[in-house]
Amino acid sequence: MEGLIAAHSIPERNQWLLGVLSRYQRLLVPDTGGPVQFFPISLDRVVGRLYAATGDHESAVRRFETAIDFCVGAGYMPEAAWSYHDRLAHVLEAKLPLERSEIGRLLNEGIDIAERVGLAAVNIRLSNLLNQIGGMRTVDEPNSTRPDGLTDRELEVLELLSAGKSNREISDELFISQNTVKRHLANVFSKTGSSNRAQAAVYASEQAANRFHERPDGLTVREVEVLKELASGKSNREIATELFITENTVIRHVANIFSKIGATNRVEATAYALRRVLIDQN
Amino acid sequence: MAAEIAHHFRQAQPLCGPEPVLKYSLIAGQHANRSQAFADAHRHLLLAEELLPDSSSQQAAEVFEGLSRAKMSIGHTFSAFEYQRRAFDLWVSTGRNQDAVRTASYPIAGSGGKSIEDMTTQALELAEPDSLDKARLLGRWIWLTPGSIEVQSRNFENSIEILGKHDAPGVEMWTRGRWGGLSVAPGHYEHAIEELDRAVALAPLARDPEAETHIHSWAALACGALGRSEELKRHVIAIREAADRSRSAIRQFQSVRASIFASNAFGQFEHLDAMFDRVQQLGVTSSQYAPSVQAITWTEQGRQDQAAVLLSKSWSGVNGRVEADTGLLTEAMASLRFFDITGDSRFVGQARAVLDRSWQPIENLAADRRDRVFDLNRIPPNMFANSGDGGLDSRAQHS
Repeated sequence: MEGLIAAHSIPERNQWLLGVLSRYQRLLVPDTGGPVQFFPISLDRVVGRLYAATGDHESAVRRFETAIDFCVGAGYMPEAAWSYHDRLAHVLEAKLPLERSEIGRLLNEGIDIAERVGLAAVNIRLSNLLNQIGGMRTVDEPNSTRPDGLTDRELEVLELLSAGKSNREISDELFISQNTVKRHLANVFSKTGSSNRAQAAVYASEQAANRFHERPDGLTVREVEVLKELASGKSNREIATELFITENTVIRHVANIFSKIGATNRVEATAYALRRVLIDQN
Repeated sequence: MAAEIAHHFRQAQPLCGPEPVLKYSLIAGQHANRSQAFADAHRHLLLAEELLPDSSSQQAAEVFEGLSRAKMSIGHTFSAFEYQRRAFDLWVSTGRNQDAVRTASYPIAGSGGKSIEDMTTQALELAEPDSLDKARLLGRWIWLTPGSIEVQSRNFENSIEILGKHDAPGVEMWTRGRWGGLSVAPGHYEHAIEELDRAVALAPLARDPEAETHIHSWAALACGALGRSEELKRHVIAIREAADRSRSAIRQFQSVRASIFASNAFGQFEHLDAMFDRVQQLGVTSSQYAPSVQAITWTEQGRQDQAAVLLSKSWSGVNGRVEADTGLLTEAMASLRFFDITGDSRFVGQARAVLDRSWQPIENLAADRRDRVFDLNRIPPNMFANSGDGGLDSRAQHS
């Protein structure tokens, strides 16, 4: 596979793909769910590629996101890795805007899985994508809440380390390989100026108070982003568009947010965000 | 004992002639079938067939019926259907209708095509109303024919109604299992799981490990499609346990195949090589599933050259295969996935040709039965076939 879109630039082929979409359209709604019977291949991922090839990028993104959610949730790791790859390849080929941190997350997750499971083919593909990222258009990140340039993943690793967890336990918790944990820890040490785990844990505790306002009650970075959008009066659909994720994913994030902050509706969640100064009160 | 006698008569055949060898080989084969020693049964009955003086006799019908049973369990599915049909026709032509109905109602998995559909129709007419054979045939009919879900629903209900007059948990388990299995194909997974659970509940009474293997296999597919990983894993274990009890090579194959599917899905590759070896040892001829899937696993692991050798070997063995194109689907799927990952198009032409032909039987299914899974299964290989430079020739047929 040379590319999700470029390979389909031949008009004859594109016509064929449109024919497939047209023929199976009624079957493709709602999202198709999980793997076909011959081989465990995610239908949503494949259908995402169909949409990508025919220029329906919104539908493609939705399918790729569904494929990622489904495969990660079910533990279908090879297809999860390919879904991350296809999602990213689509962004790059179609030159779609996507936050740099989100691109990093997709890459890291994909590579983590590929390394953990031993999927050389998709690992190479993801590494190739990594090399392409320099020239792509990205959306400026919102004001970073992360100290000293730590990535989301590094922050998660640091939090678990400061909770006294071993590399193996961190690896199990984050579903990444121990080698990846070591790599993240090396970055954490380098960025925080720590020379061992104890110093990194001290650093983490010093940062905890600062981060409280940005990520209270155990909200993830993504959930804080969703909460900010929600509190500014946006609908789920608008949030999905803004953050370039599916509406289903937004719904899932909103449910998690409500559960974590003890809100029962959007008004209560907005009030919470105002109290925590997560949004501009003006 | 019959096997030993058959052996002695075989040694003495130059003196005593073929008749006693035939008689005791048939008895030994039937006994082995009842004892679930299917490979032995197959060996005895093949010898009996060779010695048949008249292939249109009742004795021939008995041999063919036994061969059908044995062949099914050792994985010679297509010839199992052929022998079943031959036995049925002989019973009918000799006026032994009850024997004909019994032969037709034996549950061979899968679809036997038009010939078996016709046989089942005829058997349904011959079966006594409200008889157990009638219920069994109706249960089988659910799976065999391309009728719509609505029609099959009536057949299912008729079968269950008749079964209410008999104490036959084994037949009921097959009927309920097929009905549940039928819902897997169109993608009605929740309903399928519900029905299959009902079928599984009969297992302690039915004591039919072959049926259990099937039912858990369908349930595993449904759970896999819904992403219910833990349930999928439990069904895979249940398939293995049932297959071990069945002593049937085809069920063992089914079991290993389910394990291979799950291992590939979860990315647990460490035991796969042993599973692929196990499939080869079983000698099931109905599919080249193992080398095809192994080729994909190796491709994923970056062992593309080895994968290409496997695929090449797999395709070169095609000419010697008994089965029609449907048996080649795994090669086709694997070849297109290989192409998708590596860009190596050497197997694409053959794969496309198989795909184009093999979907014909599915096209004949009623619309509400082929929805989603059947049709959706077409999308990945076609997508992969068109994601690089291959497959241009036959693309027009799909547009």
